[in-house]
Amino acid sequence: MPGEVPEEITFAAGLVGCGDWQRFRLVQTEDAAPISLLQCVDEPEIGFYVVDPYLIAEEYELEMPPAAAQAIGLRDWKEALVFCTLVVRQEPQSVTANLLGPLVVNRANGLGVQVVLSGSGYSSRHLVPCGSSEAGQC
Amino acid sequence: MLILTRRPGEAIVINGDIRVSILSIEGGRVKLGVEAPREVPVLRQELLDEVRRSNLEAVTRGVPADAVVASLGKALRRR
Repeated sequence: MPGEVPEEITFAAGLVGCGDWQRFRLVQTEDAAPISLLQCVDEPEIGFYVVDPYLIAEEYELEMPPAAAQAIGLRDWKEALVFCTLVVRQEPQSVTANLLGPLVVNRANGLGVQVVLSGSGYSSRHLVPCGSSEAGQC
Repeated sequence: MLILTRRPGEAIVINGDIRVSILSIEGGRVKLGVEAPREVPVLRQELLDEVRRSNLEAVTRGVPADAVVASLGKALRRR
């Protein structure tokens, strides 16, 4: 993921349904890259695996709702980091990505928000293309 | 919960600047018109439920899935 990542990312409203967890840090390791772990600062055993959704769906389009942009003070799209969460199951072939509810982080201030892309048609359980000939075997 | 009865063509106003009007009722479906300031998010409840479900499923609770994540990462790096 290009550009700098803030040391701490604050989701003031939490992720949808997970309002108790607000402060996160992005843990990036060489083995997992480009997948990162969004780790909860206050409860370090809690985390979400995240990845750039454009790696999952090349044509991914995100229309930022004005309310969400306002919530994180995002004025310049160049300052945005976009992630989607992954549901990691035992079989790599059955890992899914939530393209319906991406996370958008304002690099300038470390504020993040989960956006629900109403009307986009994206799935919250998008099968991660993996094991196909172009992606190689998992 | 506040319960109101409205007819098609009627509306309610929330907080002075959000207007929800009943456009039509046909075969058990109610068509609503929502006029709200741009900064007010309006979502279908089921979309929010879907994202909430997905989040709860995605939470890792100290259970490392390192092997799966590493092999997936490797596959994504090749793309």
